[in-house]
Amino acid sequence: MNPISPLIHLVDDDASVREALALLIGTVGLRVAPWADPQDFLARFDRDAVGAIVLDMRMPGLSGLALIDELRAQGVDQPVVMLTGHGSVDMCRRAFKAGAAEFLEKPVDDEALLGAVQAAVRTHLALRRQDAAGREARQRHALLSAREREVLALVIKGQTSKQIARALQLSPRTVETHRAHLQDKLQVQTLAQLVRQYAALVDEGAA
Amino acid sequence: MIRNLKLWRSPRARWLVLGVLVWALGATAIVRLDLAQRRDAFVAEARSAHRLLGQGTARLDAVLATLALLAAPGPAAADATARLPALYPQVLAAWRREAAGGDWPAAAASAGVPLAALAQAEAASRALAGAARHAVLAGFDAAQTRYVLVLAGTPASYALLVDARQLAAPGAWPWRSGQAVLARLVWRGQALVLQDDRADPARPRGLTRGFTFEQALASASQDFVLQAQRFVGPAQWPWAALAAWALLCAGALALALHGQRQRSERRRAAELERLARTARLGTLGELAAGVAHELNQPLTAALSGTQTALRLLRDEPLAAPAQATVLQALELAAAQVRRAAQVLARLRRQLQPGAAPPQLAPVDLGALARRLGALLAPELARHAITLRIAGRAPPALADATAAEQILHNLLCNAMQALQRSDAPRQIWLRLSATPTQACCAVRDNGPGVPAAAQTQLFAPFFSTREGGLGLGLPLCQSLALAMNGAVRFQSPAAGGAEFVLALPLAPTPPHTA
Repeated sequence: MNPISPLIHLVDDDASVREALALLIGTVGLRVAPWADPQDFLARFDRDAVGAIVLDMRMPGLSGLALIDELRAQGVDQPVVMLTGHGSVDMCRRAFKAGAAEFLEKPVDDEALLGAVQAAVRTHLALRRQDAAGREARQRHALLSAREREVLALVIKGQTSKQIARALQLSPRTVETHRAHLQDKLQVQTLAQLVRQYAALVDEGAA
Repeated sequence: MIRNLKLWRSPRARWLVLGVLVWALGATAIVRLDLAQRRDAFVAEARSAHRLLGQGTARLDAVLATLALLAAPGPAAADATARLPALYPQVLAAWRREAAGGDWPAAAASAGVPLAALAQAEAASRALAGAARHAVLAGFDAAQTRYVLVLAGTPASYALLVDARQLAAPGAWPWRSGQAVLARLVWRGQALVLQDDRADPARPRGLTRGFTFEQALASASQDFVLQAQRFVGPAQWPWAALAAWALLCAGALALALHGQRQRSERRRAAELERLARTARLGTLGELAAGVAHELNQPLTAALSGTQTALRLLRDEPLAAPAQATVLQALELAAAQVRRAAQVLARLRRQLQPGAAPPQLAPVDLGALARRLGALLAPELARHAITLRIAGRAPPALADATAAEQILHNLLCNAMQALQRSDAPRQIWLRLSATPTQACCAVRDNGPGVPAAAQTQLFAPFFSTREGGLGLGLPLCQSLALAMNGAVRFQSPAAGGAEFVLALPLAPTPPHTA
């Protein structure tokens, strides 16, 4: 199977349930890592892989709710799909409050489980991509000179080249040159792109 | 002081005090009524004595008047005076003096009556005019309770020596001796004692003066005052009535206490029944939850397996007739698994122990523990188990019924564990607190839990007791979890077993100070 395909962590103390759910999830081309012991899972699972976590609520040693709390505390970003044998409203509420992406009752239907898992994977992918985009923008932003950053800040504030020239006591031509350079470095073609991708970064830097 | 308060709080003591109070009130009423009756009786008797004495004195006046009227000189009159004492027992002697220069007989002097006194009294009587003339006292002998009465007359004057004790006919006298009565006739500061029971050893040592009566006799010649007194003391109190009243009170008290005991017994039984009923319901729910969990896992595996097969078949179909049959068979299997799951879900929903959300409110675990201790006291005594409650815990935020049920369960477990123990059986209930939780530990010195069993204690259908369902502790755990608390097991170093119920602290109300 494709090693880059998303990885689903399946945590359930019951071996036959693990096996059956792994088979089911495998039919849609996702990789599955089964875990019998929540503590073992917590200690060793691959935090970098893209994917999702499928958790049973009721396990010896560490309950599903406690485990999800622990995952969030550790900054794990994989979405969690909770499975439970008895879904009371109260438990459902607590699961969502703890940050579960989905809450399903056992025995779970294939459509429901696969839908939830795939949605979780998509969410995680988007999250990771967004993170990656952010990381790249940050790297490009770091290439700018001090003067180019000043110009960028004013551009994002919506000032014209003339206004910027006046504010920085430069000639409008010099400002134009700076703008051309920073657009090259930041790999944007239009002003709109520039603002959309870098406004947050510039605000962050100014703060 | 605190002891007394505690005593007062016990209904038994309250009934006892009430009983004594009622008896005392009743006894006072009985004594007062009895005293009033006795006083009335005494006054009636005293009046009767007064009447008898009045008649007695009047009779003497009449005798003297008759003697003076019929006085014939000579031996006949002397004979009359001699025969008089035989006719009237109160007359000890009668004397006669001829008005025309006779002397009072010497017999009078020998009877202890000075002749001068006789003469003086005769003169006083003679000084009284005509019809108003009456006899005059010539002597008053308090020591011998006698007095002498002289009536001046013509041709002869008469004197009578009177025994005051015989004034009233003894048969008619209202008081027998020994009735604690003092009766006397008072004349010018002197007294003739008619009856005096003061020397009687059985006489009451007076707590009170008793009853008194004082009235003058109507006689002109014998202007005595009758003074009567009756002594009353504890010996005269209506002991029989008081004892009967005490018996009645004691009987009523015994009945009341019996009723009270029965009532509290009934209350206790009802309370235990209520706990048992809740426990049964809880156990049933836990049973359903346990069965549901145990069956849900295989059902989940079965459904997922079937559906995996279905998906694969749809992606890569078999040869024509087989494909349809296999699909149909697998779909049938999947539908049946879902049906089984629905049955389980329905069962669980109906019997779920925590179906109703817990009613969280501040609960004093100490008070709860003490109440359970009192509730189970007879049970503990029957199995010779000592229960000790120690420590303090701030109020927990919990459902009182659920917390009570957990503690009751833990206590019953401890009691059952101790039945297999021969050592002096003990259960300790220890209350404590952490910064976030209020705890109540239930420890026994029974055989404890084998190491192998310790990890499975809270798993449903696991029991170290023969015939145990293995749902008690899971139920406790479920109830505690529903209140955001927990039940933990620990092995005390000293042996035995210890279960700790930990519940979140109730938020402290803002201080008004």
